[in-house]
Amino acid sequence: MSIWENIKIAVYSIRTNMMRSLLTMLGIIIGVAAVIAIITVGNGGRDFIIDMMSDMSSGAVTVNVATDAAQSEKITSEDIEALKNLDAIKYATPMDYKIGSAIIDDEPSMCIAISGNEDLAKVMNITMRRGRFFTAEESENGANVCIITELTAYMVFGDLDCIGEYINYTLNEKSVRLRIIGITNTDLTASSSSSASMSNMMSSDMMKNNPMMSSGVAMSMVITPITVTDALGGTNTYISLYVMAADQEQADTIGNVVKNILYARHGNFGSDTYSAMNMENLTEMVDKIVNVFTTFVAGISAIALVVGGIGVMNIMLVSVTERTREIGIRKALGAKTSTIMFQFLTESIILCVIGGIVGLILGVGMAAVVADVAGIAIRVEVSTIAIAVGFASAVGIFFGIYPARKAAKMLPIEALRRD
Amino acid sequence: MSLIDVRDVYKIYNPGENEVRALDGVSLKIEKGEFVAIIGQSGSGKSTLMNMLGLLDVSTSGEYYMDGINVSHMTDDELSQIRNEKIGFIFQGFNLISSLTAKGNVELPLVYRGMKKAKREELSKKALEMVGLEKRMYHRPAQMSGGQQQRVAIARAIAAKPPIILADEPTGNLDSHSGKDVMRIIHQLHEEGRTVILITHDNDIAAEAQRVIRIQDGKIVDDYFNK
Ligand SMILES: Nc1ncnc2c1ncn2[C@@H]1O[C@H](COP(=O)(O)OP(=O)(O)OP(=O)(O)O)[C@@H](O)[C@H]1O
Ligand SMILES: [Mg+2]
Repeated sequence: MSIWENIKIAVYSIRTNMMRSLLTMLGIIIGVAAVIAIITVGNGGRDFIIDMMSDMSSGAVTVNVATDAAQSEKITSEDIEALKNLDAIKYATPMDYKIGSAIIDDEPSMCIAISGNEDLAKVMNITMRRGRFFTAEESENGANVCIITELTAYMVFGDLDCIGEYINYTLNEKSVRLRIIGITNTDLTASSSSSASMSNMMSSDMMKNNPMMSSGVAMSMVITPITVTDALGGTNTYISLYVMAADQEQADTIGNVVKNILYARHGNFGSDTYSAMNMENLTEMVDKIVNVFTTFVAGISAIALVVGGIGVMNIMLVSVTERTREIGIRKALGAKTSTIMFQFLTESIILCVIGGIVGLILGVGMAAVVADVAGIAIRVEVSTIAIAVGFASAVGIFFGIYPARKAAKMLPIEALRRD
Repeated sequence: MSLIDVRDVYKIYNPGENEVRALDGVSLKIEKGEFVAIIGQSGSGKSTLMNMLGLLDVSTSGEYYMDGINVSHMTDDELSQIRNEKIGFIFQGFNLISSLTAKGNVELPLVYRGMKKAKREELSKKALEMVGLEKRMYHRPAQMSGGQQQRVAIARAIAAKPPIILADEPTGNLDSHSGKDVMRIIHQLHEEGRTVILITHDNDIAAEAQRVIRIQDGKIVDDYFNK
């Protein structure tokens, strides 16, 4: 007898006992939906956290100066030069945030300036929508140029045709006219909201120098050469730097190398002034947190699945008992043990796989609702789908085998005698 | 070589204390094309004998040759195959599958024989026509009368054209009119050359057979040919 014939018999039997089949599937549906929802929301949450915490390119390393460090311990442009000269380091840039105000196209706004040298584009993975990033020469000479974000461009100019326009940037009561040379479509909000430097800036420049701040004005964002913000009365020292190793594999060790060089150059070995963090560290850290949570809840859902599986076994046992006579008839008419076994196994697998697919849809739906409320994006992976359907089939096979064997092994006459 | 050759078969339930010898040393030969009635009182062992002959049950001891082949020690699956190819059962209680239509029931032995769909439909239709139920092909057992159900069971037994027909009180649950219908079909099967073994406790029906075997307390006590 063909597999197709078998599936038809199984589907037929499931359909003739619709209510019972639905109740059986319910256990599987709930279990699978729970597992999928948890994994999907977990994945989405993980992406969200990592995204929020860093704009770093993978392979980039950031080194931060402790908040209580003395002025002499902060990073200088000479430090950066020294790092750049190392063969092991491909890119090195200071990283600074300054919050000032800007007048762009006659519109005033609170303006965040992210600054660094020409390597900033590489370590922060900044991509250009229009125009270009600033060059090494511009960075060195303090050229009055800037890159604005796509959002800022739309907000202020209403379109992206603003290359060559000027903005007036004011910091510490000094102003500079910056020419727009590029528009980036990289979302930089993460850098500006999560950085340690943010809190530093909040207290000083922004509150004092920006009366507009309190009235909740528009916020613009620009990227400038670090020399530009230095000229606006910066201290020429920085509390963050980004490097990228020449060899991607070295991302882990390069952080320590940079730290040691900084300790050596500032003569503060033994202090805890510098801390390094790379994308992998960050990902690992977040993964650890998310995994503990996911494993815990997935464990609970797995129990739900097992309970669902036992439900399937129960129903299959009932089904076998109820249909003992049918089994006897089928065997009397020539069904082999394997045929009967396969029939009942097919039935339980179909129940579980349908349950698994419904559970999958329901789980993703639940995750989508949760994600919508929490404001995160969900991510459904092929592996998640595989887990759901695989798990459901496994439950079906595992809990279907016992009743199926029981049914198949009966002597035809024994089966026929029962009612 | 006899079609059926049973040698000194015992079927003993609960051996020891209160054992029941449902078959107590039965030896029996049935030739191809015979029409045999097995009669006896209730509890005498008729059904037990039929189940044994139909390979639905295994004996406690003794040998059973079918077409010269010893089937006493075959595996479950081998027996399934022989039943499928050689034996058509008409049970006392119809034994139709309630969730299948008449056609579905009749097709079952053909399905297990691995027959293609088109061939199955042809044969099942023919069998249902023969028992006069071509208009009831898509009815479920519950939608049919007892006589009609028994005729579906007969159609199922003959669809695959097995050489042996085993019928356990095929008219037992039917009124005399339906009973006559069923007997007419059974005669027809015999005339087509099939070996028919029929269990009954109705002497009138037994008189319709060629040969009568009387059984009592698990033993054959009489075996004669009708004139
Ligand atoms: N599973 C069993 N366990 C114990 N004893 C059994 C079993 N099956 C049948 N018997 C006994 O074997 C004997 C023969 O039973 P069988 O069913 O063959 O009788 P029968 O001649 O077909 O009777 P009837 O005409 O009532 O159908 C009976 O005494 C019955 O009680
Ligand atoms: Mg009986």
